[in-house]
Amino acid sequence: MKNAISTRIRFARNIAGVKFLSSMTSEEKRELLLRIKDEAKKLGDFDFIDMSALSDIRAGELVEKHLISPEFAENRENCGVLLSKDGITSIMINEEDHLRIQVIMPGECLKEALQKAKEIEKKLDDALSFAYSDDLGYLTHCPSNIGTGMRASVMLHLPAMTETGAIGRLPSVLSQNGLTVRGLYGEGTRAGGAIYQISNRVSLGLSEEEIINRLETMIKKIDETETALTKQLFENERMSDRVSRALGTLKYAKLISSSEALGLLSDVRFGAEAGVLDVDSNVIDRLSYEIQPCSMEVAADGKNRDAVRAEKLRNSL
Amino acid sequence: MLCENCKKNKATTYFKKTVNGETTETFLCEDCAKKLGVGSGMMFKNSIFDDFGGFDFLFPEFIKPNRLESEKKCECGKTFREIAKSGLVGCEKCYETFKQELAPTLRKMHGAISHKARKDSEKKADPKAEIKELKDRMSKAIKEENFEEAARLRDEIKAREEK
Repeated sequence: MKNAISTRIRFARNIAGVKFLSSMTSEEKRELLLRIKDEAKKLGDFDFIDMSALSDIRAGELVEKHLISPEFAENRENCGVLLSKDGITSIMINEEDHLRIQVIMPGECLKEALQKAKEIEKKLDDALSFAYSDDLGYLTHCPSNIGTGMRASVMLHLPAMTETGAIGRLPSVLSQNGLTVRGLYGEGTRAGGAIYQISNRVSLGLSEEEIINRLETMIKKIDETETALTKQLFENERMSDRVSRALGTLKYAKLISSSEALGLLSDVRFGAEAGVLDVDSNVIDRLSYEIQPCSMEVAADGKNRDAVRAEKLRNSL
Repeated sequence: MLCENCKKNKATTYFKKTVNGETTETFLCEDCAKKLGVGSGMMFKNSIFDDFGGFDFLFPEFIKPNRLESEKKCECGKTFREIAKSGLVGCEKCYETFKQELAPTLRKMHGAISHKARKDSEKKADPKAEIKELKDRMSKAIKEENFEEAARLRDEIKAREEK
């Protein structure tokens, strides 16, 4: 699927017999953090990061890589995250729930990601025993996650639907199927990179597999629409002109901001999807998060961020 | 028709939502519609991790005053009013304590009020442990002089032991 950037499965879990985070004291949270860390570390090759000891920039970098949530980066006291060496799995400790187990993989691979997330979840459940009731499934801090405790999502690049305004009809169609859509970097604008996240809104009353199947069906339809609209749009020469110019700018600019770069990268990816430009989409996707402010700040190491960003783009494209 | 939220102004905004085939209709005045973000593209939030889109706006419109005024407290100390305000329950037992109060919330959110167990039944517990738990619950019920519940549990234990 050309338009799929990445797939994410996230399980919200809490330990049976332990109060939820809003009812816990700082000491209790600290104790829980260490307990989960010790158990999880036995399971595999994880690096533990104590969030309270992390700088804002480093925390921002993890958000840009989608390994942790923005809320988690904001409130870091008594929080920790375990990251697998392959960069696929992250376990957030003391986010909204005691544990948030996340698997993120490139492209559209819902079934594979679900399988992987379930394997890790099962091992952690055996070690920690999660709060569960036959009636309501996994018990979560917020009732919106109860049941499967699962949020499955696919990040899609939808420039043609954004350009034509077709994206505006998505929310109501998705809602009827218990799904939802969110813009990633600002809504419906080209500068926002035309990146959207389609995910399940409903977590109770359906099995994990049923949720995944609904999501897969809907994403296939969206992909078909996007492909058809792309073909139509590129019948006009101005479209190929625009995407080619975008590539030209990225290849030769000396200074570039992250928002300009994101918009141009979106155009270049659009050109690749339409078969007009010969650029690897995977390279674009990797660049889309590597060029963001916090990641760039780390890479620039005191030098001018916009210059380092431009250099990185020139060398990669 | 009056606004369902403030019950003061005339309702001018009609809002229909279908989740999992379950349709709900809401009538709001202009101010409340604005306040609750209805019809202003609330589906779009900035973060891919923002999993609770629409949740905060859902609460005020359907929680009836009597549910909020309940004096009931869960053992973690939370009242239903606090839960409704924060959108978060205090502990796993809150789901049992406020089962009735939460049911409309769950129905509205998920179009369902009970969990569909995993087909592969990974969660199937050890039957001995289950019977032990039932026996514990029965003793507790007897202590609390809840004989109806105790009798029900006794029958359940008997049925399981015969299996």
